[in-house]
Amino acid sequence: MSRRGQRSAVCRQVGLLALVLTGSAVFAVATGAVEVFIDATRGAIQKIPIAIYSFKSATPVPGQPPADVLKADLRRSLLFDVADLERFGIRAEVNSQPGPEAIQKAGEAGLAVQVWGTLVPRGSEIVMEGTLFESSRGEVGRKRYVGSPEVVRHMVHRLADEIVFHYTGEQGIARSQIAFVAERDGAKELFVMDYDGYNRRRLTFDASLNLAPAWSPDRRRLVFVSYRKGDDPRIEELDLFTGARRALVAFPGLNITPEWSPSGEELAFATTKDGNSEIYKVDRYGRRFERLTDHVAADLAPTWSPTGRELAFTSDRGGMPQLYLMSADGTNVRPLTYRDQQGSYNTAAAWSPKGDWIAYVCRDERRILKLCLISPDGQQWRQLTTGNSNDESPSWSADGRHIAFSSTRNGRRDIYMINTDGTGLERLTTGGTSNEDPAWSGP
Amino acid sequence: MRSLTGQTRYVMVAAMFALVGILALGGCSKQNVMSSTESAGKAGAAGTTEGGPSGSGGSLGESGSAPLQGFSKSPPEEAVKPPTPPLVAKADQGEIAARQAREAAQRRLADIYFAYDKWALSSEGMKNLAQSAEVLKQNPAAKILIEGHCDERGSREYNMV
Repeated sequence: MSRRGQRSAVCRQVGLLALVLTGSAVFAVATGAVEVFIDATRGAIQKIPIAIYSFKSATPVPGQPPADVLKADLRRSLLFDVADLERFGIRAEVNSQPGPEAIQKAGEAGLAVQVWGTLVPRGSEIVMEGTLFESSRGEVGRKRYVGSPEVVRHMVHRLADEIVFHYTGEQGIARSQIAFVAERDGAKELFVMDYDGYNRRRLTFDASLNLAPAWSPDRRRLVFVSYRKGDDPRIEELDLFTGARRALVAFPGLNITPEWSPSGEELAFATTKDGNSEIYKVDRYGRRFERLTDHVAADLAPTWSPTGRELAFTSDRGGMPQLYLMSADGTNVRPLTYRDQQGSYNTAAAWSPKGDWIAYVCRDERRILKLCLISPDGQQWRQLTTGNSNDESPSWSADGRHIAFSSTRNGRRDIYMINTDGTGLERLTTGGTSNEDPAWSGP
Repeated sequence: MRSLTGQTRYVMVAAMFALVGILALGGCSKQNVMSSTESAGKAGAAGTTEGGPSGSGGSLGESGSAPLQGFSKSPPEEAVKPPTPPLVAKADQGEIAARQAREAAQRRLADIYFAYDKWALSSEGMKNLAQSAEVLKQNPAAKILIEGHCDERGSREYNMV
């Protein structure tokens, strides 16, 4: 099926579902389809009502019930309105596949989409099956996963992303990972966790400082800043498949703030090898360098537009740090934030994967660091986080609807996520003494 | 070497004058580096997994790499795997030991602090400065490196330059 055909099929379904939402006219209008796109970049989308039956498990599985993990994933997608079946007098605990009557009954309650699952042991593994129903046509299809009991959460994340993909054509973010820096025994080491904060894993044991991780678009490699060779921090690359590690940028001086281009072919970063901090690009092999900025002020922290044609970065060429834009070849430099509009201190830009916003760290009149959003044309601007904590290091989810960041809002520094409309604040880390520098992977 | 505001350069200039001929080694950040040797003991361990927000453990499935396949009435079985091989960057014991020895030697000279957004030395800084001067007088042949560091206030990446 062509991409176009697939898309229109998706649209028809969504159109139907949006109409279901209107309630009484459900069956009358289902045929006269008005098409409704789920446009993820718009705030006010019509969410799809969905109900999750408890998964029937023939064997105990560790951790949270799979249905609860799925509900949390679908809520976080911001595409679904996850309903409580029991509230409509429908049993969520079922011993066998929900029959046509149950599906129909839930449909009459407005729950157009329903999901049920089973977990069955097979040797030391577990086979999980998830089935998708629509009240208008019964079973839509199913998914079947096999793996160890420890990966049941990941099976559910996959199922969640399949559901998102089915209705929107988007990849979903439930399988994404967040790399971050945590303080352990006085050192700062690299860690990675699931996007919901589970399955934290430690990647480095350097007893040194590792900072500012960034993912390659294929999720295979992390680049980061390492002080392990002494006082001049280098940009190193860690291959997560092989464990291989190498220095990509090791000039005398500071080599900091690495960021992969959207194609994964180039790395933008800042180095002080020329005296003060300038932005460079290098190919993925660490061989061919190209200088992008040339200014007596400090230029650093580049972030790529999703097309790879432009970069936003921090510069104090105006006296204080502000955000600037330039073409990917270093030409056409122009300011994005201004002291009289966005305040005197703006840094750490992160360009959204959809291109419509640049998140950054802004400093308010109390000199507290908060997160702000600005459109790349500078026409729209707003403060995203409020309160007395310092909020830093914004990193976008692949769907462009969430931002991970570090915050001191509960005393120590921890990693949180927030929706771009300021709702849905969620704390992702709790252990250790400090968790910071989140980098959110692609889907 | 940048404090929160445009006063950075004053701080730097002040630092240069204050420390002429005197060695100040180790800033806030480097003390962090050196304050532990325990992690090194875990060198080469397989990826350690820690609990999530509610304490649930388990290994990571690198399920993100396999493409989504869509729903079907008779779906193929998809294997969801725990993490792909090593995942852990092994510690270089020699490197860590050498770095720690170097920094321990450097610590004979104490840090000299400035107050937040100020270029005046703290009283403790004055004391440390005098002590460092004594050490240097006793070791006239010593080579010294003077470094300035900022603290954690200010945004993380901007504070680095």
